[in-house]
Amino acid sequence: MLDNVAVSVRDLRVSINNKEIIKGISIDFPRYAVTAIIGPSGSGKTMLLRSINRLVELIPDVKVSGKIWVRIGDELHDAYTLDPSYLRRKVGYVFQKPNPFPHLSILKNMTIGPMLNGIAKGKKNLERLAEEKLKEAGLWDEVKDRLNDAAWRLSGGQQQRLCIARALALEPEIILFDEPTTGLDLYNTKKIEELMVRLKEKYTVIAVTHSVDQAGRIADFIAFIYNGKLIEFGSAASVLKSPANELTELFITGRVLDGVKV
Amino acid sequence: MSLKKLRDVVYTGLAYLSLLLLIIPLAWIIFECIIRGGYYIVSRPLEFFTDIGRPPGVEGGGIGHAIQGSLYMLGLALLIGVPTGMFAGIYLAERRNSPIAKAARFVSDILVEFPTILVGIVTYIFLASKVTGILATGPAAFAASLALALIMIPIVARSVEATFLTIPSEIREGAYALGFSSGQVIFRILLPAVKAGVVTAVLIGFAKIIGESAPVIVSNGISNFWFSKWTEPAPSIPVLIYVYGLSPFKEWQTQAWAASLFLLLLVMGVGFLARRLTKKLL
Amino acid sequence: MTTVRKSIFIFLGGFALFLALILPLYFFGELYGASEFFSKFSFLDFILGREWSLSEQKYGALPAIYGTLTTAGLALLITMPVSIAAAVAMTELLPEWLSEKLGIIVDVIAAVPSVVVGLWGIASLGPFLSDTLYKFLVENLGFIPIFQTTTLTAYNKLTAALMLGYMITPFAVSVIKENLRLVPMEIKEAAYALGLTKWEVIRITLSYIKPGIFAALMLALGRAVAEAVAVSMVIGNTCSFSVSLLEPACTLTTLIINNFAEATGIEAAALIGLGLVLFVISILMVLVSRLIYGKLLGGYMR
Repeated sequence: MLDNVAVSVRDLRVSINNKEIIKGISIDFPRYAVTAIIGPSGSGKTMLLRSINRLVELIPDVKVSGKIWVRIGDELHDAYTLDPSYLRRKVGYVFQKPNPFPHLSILKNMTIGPMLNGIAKGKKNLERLAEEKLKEAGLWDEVKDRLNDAAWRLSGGQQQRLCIARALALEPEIILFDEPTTGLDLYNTKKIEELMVRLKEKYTVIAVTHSVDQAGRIADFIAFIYNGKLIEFGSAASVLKSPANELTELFITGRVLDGVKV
Repeated sequence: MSLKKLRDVVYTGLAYLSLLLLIIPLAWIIFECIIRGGYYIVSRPLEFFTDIGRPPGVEGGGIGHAIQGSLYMLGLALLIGVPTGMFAGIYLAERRNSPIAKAARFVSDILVEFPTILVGIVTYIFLASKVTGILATGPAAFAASLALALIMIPIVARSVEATFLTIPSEIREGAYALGFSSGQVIFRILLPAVKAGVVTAVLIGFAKIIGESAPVIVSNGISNFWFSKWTEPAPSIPVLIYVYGLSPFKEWQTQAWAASLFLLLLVMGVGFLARRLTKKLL
Repeated sequence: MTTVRKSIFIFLGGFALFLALILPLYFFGELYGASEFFSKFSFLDFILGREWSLSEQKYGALPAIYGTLTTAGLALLITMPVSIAAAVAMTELLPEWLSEKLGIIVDVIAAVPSVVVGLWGIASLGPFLSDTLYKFLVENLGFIPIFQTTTLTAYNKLTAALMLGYMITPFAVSVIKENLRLVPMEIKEAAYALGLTKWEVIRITLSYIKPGIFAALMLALGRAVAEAVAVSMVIGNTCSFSVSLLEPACTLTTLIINNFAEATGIEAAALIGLGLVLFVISILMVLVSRLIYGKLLGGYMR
């Protein structure tokens, strides 16, 4: 397979309680680029994202078929034969709602993953790693004097950036974002969008968003998902300027919302 | 990696072991009750349930007097405890934010965890004690009944409150909109709507006092005769188990196990009823 | 019309007011009952007195306080791992239907009358332990002071603590289970997304509800302190300050339950004084537990 593919999905089907949510999606996500997955809510965007790091398996009565290949180092691995813990360490995830461990300190939020996973050992090394990743996520200056505060005391936007930093601390290869700026103010939205663009230098970024505008601002590639199927996939410029499919055009011009033509 | 897996397996094993540690003693208790006491009940059921205890060393006899005493004591306790707990509980729900409701709620939460033995001591001090008591009867059944009532009141009140709070506010508002008075709304509309919940609340309170022995021992003392007067000590099933169980006499010990089996079934029956009613409510 | 509307709440409020007054009434009753004793003996001598003997008119509460705290504390140590592990097994490991069935069993254990547990302790558990565990402890670990005893008996602090531990566990399990159910899915997802294994996720979940667990165990400890009849049946009822777990002891509640029915005059008042100590310990535990839980609700669990 091609060297520039980070995640390769083949005929992915996901059903919950025998109801098919993803109905046969095949897609190759390019390496070191930002790919935005857009589509109306309920189209299966989040489920596609969760299939990549197998978080989907936490849902009871879920069935997944098809193949997902994930690049770790120089090789593509079958995600569903890897140890899920190992996979999730290599494929980071940032959730829609900021979910730091509220009761733990900011520092502990950063170090608990690397510590339990054995990525860094010793207090010094862990703290150095935390500092480095907080800086990478652009949060260090705001929290460096209050590292021992509980995380729930941070603002929503800060919490989300902490979650990004926490994901970075595991030194993943791919980072998945699930509408990470939902409900955040403009300042934090802008900061996180800039961060996602910056991250593609070292990581592969795949981001679900329901905002076409946001996709335009951050993405190199855009995938449009509708009703559990991949409708269109291409470079951001081509998808946004001259969509090949009528449904895509309806969506990016705001005429399909939540699966209903308006 | 495999070390991690091994650790997880060990943890899972320990978690299941803890469940065994919970279940085994219960099974053991039930087993002993059946083995040591079951035979006595089955072999002479009439005598066991209706006859009085024999003196030590004499074969035969039953716990009829203790059942009778328990019925009297629990009866009076229910008579006092149910309305008091229920009315207080309704007030807690319908006047949520009044200072009295707040104080009563705070106190209830403490009382639910309060040592029951102290409740018996207090009713004894205020009423039964020959020195400090108003009625100065000495240890007496009514003091025990009152203690049991006091133990169940906060439990009933809090459960009734919780039940009333499940009523959607539209029903309440709808009833008031029809021009009913508060009394009519509460007793004609709301109370019938949560009948099952109130019965459950009473059962929960009742289950708590059926097996109580400590408050009864300190306020009523110990008796092995038929119930005679409210101002005298009366027998009861839990206290009979206590006395017979501690005695060195084989016959009494056997009957302690038999009485335990009976009491256990009673408590489990009440719990079963309460659970059934709760399920019906949902 | 308005008077009719109000009068019903005056009626109901009377009962609520009575409920609110029960606790002060208890406190006053205890003080009143113990007053005769404290008019003759100083409170300090009572609380620090090292000997309790009705026949010699020596009323020192210290051995009973020691017995209560050691047995209840030991019971807590037993409950802590078992109740946490059982709650985790029921909420995180087992399927819903099985967990529900086990929940019923836990409720049944909680409902077993303490006198029945006591009977089991005196006739089954105690003799069994002394033939097996205690014999082993004395023969093999007898050099450790807590396992030293001159005459091995079935009725001692350890029997009482094991039995008490069993009695308070179902309550702790239920409360910890409730707390575990309140943990938001997002927290678990976040942990899984960090590549943590199931038990590492559970570890984070448990740290999330730590104040809830603490509050639950505090209440469980309060119940162990308050238990009277079952303890009195197996603890051996001999007051002592022995550090050995295999020696008999007495507690606040056992002294009361064993002597109150026959006590008169100053003796009864002294026993009520023990009740006063029990009163204070119990209230403190409930209040501390509530304080912790209140803090939790004001913090990240809002």
